[in-house]
Amino acid sequence: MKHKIALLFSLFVLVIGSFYTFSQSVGRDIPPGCGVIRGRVIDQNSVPVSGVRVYAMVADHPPRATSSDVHAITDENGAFFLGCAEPGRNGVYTVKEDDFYPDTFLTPFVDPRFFTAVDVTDQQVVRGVEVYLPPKAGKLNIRVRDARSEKPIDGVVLTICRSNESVKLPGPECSVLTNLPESGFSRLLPAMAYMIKASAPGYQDWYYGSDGSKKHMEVMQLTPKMTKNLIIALRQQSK
Amino acid sequence: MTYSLRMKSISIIMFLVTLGLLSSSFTYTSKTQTYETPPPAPSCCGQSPDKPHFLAASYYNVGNNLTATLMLNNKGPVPVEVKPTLFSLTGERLETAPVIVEGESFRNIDLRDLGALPGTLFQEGSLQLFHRGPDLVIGAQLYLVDNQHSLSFDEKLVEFQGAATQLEAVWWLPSRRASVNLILSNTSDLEVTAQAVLNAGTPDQERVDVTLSPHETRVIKMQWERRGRGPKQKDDVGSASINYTGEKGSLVARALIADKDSGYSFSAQFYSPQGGKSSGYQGVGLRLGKVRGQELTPIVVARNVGDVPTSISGRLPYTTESGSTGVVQLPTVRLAAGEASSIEIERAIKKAVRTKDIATASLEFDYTTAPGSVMMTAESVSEDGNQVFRVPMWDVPAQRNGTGGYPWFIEGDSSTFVYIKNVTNQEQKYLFSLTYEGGDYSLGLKSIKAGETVVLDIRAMRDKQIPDERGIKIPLEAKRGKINWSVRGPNSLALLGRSEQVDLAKGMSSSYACFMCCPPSHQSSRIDPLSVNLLAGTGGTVRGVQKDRNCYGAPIPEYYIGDTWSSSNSSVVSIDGVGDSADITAVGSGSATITGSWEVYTFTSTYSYEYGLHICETSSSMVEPSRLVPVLPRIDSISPAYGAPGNVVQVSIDGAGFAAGSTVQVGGSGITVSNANVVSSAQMTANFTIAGNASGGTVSVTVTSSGQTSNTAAFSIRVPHHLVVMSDTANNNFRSDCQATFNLNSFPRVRQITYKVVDCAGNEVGPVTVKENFTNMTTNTCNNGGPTPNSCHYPFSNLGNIFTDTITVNCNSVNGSCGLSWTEEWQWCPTGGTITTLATLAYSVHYDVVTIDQNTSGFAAGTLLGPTGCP
Repeated sequence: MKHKIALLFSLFVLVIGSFYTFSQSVGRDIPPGCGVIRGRVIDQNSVPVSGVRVYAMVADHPPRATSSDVHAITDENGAFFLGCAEPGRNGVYTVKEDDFYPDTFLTPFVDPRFFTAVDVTDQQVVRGVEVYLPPKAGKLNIRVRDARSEKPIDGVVLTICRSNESVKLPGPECSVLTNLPESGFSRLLPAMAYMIKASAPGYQDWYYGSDGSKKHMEVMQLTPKMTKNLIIALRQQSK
Repeated sequence: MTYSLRMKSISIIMFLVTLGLLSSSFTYTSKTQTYETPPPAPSCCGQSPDKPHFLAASYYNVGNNLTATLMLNNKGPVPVEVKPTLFSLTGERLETAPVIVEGESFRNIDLRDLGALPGTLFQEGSLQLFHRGPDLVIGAQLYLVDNQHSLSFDEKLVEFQGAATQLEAVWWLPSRRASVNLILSNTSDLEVTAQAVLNAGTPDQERVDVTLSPHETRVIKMQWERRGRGPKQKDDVGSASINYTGEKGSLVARALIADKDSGYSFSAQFYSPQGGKSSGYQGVGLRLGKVRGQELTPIVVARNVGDVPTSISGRLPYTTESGSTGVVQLPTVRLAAGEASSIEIERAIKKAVRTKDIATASLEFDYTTAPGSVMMTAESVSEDGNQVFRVPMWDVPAQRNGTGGYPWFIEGDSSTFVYIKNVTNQEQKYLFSLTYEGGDYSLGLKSIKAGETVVLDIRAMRDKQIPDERGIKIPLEAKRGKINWSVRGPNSLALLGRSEQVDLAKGMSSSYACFMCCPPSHQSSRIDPLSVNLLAGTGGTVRGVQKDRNCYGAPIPEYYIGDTWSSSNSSVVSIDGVGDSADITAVGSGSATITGSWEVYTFTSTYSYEYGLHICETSSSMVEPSRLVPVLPRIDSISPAYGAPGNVVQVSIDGAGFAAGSTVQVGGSGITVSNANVVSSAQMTANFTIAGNASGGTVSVTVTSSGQTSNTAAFSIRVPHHLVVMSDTANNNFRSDCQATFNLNSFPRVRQITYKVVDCAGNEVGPVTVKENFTNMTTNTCNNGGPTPNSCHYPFSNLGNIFTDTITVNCNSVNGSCGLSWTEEWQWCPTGGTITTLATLAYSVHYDVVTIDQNTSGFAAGTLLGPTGCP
């Protein structure tokens, strides 16, 4: 089974990766240091989606600082126009959180099939870029508290890993979030199974499960458009 | 201010009100633009300020536990010199030193200080005063007080010019023990012969013939009990009729009734029947209910001094504590010629109303015979007889006018009460004010219903700190001063009043009525407030203000007044009001003139030979004070209210009163305004071009519309100074698309820090252009090149001064801990200004960790990066 999935993925990468270059032309009034990307955003049924924030990020060298600030919002036809993408190989990313579409650049465990790569040339226009939205995600809200005082804890490290039951995709198996803010963790994550661990200095590690123990650790299944709220109570380590 | 008067018509109207009141009125109208009447003429009220006046008191006595105090009350604005002369019983003369009474003040003088000493010739006798000045400018009253027996007799000094040589009086006798002393005093330098007929209320009469030497005073003791003809316990009446030879006014008389056992005392006044002007009497302020736990009994006695029978009918108008009014009809009494009787009114009052509910009451009587043919006396007496409140019974048309000028003082338990009665059948208005050391207190213009009596308790007004119409309160330490009240309107005799000094603890009271020569006259009028600047869409209140002077030229406190109001341009200022105030609303920018209009009066005192008395001639005119009211456009807010140098900021100015053609001005230097546009009367837009080298600070913004300039609003020029971290993802994210884009099994860390550009105080600065400057960059060991610094531009985020720095070494084939480092300078690059570094940061960007200024765990929101503090 694993082999089949890897084969399918390889074929997909080949297909998507072949779109490195789209039709390009010289654009008027494009400032130096910028290239233009035109295209549209469609969902998995090839239906254009409006209201999607689209941005590009160069991938082949350290990016210009404010690259991610260059963004566009798709119109009713799903069309977008990025006026100043940094020349070089760019990834084109999408996000529409209110409709459960995660940020494809920052969200861990996003299926790589939904990454779109574009070669941008200085002062040139790339047209016809089609960007697929990933499947709708689920939302995970986590807050960590002291079990006794119910007060927030400093230095919480949250580790979210794909479970072995999930589809095996390229990329890191786990996402580690350090110094979890008091407001907690709130993010769209791809709909799949996860294992979650929370730890903090002076506290016993906590695992998602019936009693927080590693022994009874369980898999948490996140489904599309689902919102899962977890309040994790860490017990202080016995002295 | 100037005064001009264009008399269009003059008419003389004789006011004969229901009770036959007499006055005259001159009416004219004027369209004057200024409203100030000239200062009083040297001859106030038509009289010379040097006019001589002689006043007389029939009797003083400083022996037998008595004190004699002379109160001198100067109602004019200038000091008056008064020369008292004491006469002994036998007419010897003692000229005393002159007494100066300062303007608008009063003095109490112990006669012993003038030489009336016990055991001397001048222990007992009569008193005369001489002074110069306008009519009635000096009021004088003599108080004889026996503190030991709680007796008090007051006598108002009058100019001894009688209407005839006949004097009549009537009084009530409280008990068989009461003593009556009849005082006859010759005020002239010639011998006077008098025949007195004394009556105890029975058919029995006693005739006394006396001859008085010049200035001689005779005290005739009427010992009823000893003669065995004592009156009955409750309702006996005493009276006296006196006819004398000599000039009219050369004899003054008084009857002093006293009961030392109970403390009852009463001073009966004598009148000439020939001086009567109407067949009626009014008594102002009859006390009812209880004082110090004792029920008061109202007593009225009457005597027919005519030749034919008469019928007397009366009413008692009253006002309850709740403000409602009513009238009690009193029983009608028939008196045969020469008959005297008490009139039982208590039963009628109690049958009609609970006396404890009555706040104020007065008496009104009419009789059916000729004016002056009936004499009347009224009083309220407590059960033990110690508290006696005399109510002077006035023949209204014979009075001077509806004014009063009294002293007030609060000593121990005493207080001053003022009674004012509307003696007409129409609502009237009056002014009431008082002075105290260092200030004045004015109730302003008040209304009084037909027949109503109001009572003003000065102690209560002080102790309860009741504010006047200006919010002023009588200081709690104030103990004495002057009272002024007057009718306001064309009928100078519409009101009558008196003061009553009461000391309940000592069981003493005295009544004092002192007229001015006329009601006060208009001096100036205006509209308050003096300066009215309204912002469009706002409103305010304006009031008419009038300043009068009394008939002696002294100013009285200003008061609010008005009638109708108008605006010259209601699209700028609308006005709505009737009476002394009007609400104005600023509709649009510009200016309009608001005008108030009301009638004012001027009084002149003249002697009417036709009617044999002084009357006040009334002149009325309309005043129309006006005030220009500028309406300024109003700025409520500017958005945005700040900007950084080198920018063009389109501001929206919200407010009111923005007419077409309005312009926007910005104070100071550094900002140029362009494209000012009136969106609506409530909104404008404009472009503020802030010079790149403009200094930080606040400038004022105004809008000019229809020639008026608005209030100011603040706009801040904020100079970018440093960065503040808004969010930082730290090293919690990685780039997972390297395989998709490069077939690299690569997951470099991605750190995103969102910065905000602020001024040195941490304030927002609005849109700014920023750029990067890299120095000390090392070779990228990931072998994928280096970053390109941002050129100078506004943040692409459209958030003006907020931008996000995405920091990663990006996809590479080395992976591991490869990377590079450099020194990052974030710089503000204003158009036309100097590039300024906002923050200098050490960037170390590696595949597996991004370190900024040695921070890997992320900056907390709010972290300040760059210089601190304001220069």
